Amino acid sequence: MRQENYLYFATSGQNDADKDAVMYPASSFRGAVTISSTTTELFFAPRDGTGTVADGVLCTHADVAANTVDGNAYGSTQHYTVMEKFAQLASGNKMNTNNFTVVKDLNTNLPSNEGAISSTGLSEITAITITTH
Amino acid sequence: MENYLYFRKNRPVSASVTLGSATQTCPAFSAADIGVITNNDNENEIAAISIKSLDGGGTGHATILFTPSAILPTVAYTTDALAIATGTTHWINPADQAYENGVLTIDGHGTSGGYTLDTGDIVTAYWQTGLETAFMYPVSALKGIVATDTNTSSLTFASLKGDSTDDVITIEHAADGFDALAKMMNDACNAYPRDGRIIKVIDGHDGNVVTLDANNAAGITTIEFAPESGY
Repeated sequence: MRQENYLYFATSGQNDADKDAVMYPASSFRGAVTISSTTTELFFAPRDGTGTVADGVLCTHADVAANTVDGNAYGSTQHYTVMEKFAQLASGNKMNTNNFTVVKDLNTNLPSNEGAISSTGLSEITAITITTH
Repeated sequence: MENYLYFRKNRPVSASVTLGSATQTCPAFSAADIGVITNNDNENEIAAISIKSLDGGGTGHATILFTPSAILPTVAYTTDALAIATGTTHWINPADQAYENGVLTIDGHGTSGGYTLDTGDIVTAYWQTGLETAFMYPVSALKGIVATDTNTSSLTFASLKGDSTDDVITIEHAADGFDALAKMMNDACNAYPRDGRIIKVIDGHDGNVVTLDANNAAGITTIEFAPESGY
């Protein structure tokens, strides 16, 4: 048995169309980058192995809270929270489980027979866009 | 299990420049305020731009707006124009302007959303999280650290794209700060072995550099992030 977490993402589609859902081994994670104040992208080794463009999961999250005084936007931590919780999920010690890890599942086709670890994932993520190569 | 290294560029809450002459090309923001100027082009890091008129000499397009209060998360532009007069403040939409290498170029008043600037006007930008403002790599992606001069070092990570070109974080620090930087990176990579956590290594939040080493022994002042293009 390979002791590795497998990271599952699914859009609001029903897993019946291209890029509705994807799963990567945690070891394929290459890094994360903020794209805007409301989006952060998680990058993975591309499945085609060419190294041309990374696979990516663009995660939409909340914007900063309203600020009516000095425009202090840079203190935004929404992206950090997504990164932090992803890190915890990707590396969570889940001995005695099958290591299936739902990072975000936005559709109603939850994987069956996953018991207690089947979930909708990070509540901070409200939408995802999957790019694969 | 793996740990993850988190970095955030220096960005202030806001930064201002004062026009020395009547031109639409503003002076560059100070590197002390916004970090490395070269390639500081990500316009979506700017949430809002205000112009404070020195003496009412500028001219705004009819669409020039003012906001009574809220700047974030989205500037609460009103549909009311405010007459330009001594000391008045006007707001323009960053998406209508150009931004390159730390320099704002403002459309003139003949263009919708534009404002013709005058000598002595103060242009202020307000920053937010944007493209490549913050980033995170797994510890295992770190390929090495090299001192490039007494004040500069580079962290090299396996690229997001995964080819032979690396992603590079360039760090400006105090003279001879490499040793302290290298020690901090070692601590970042090893302090919490296989704990599965995110580790803030360098955070330029609000223009104040905070490092994993609470004393910032390396004297880090700015960081710049250059991922391989096209990831």
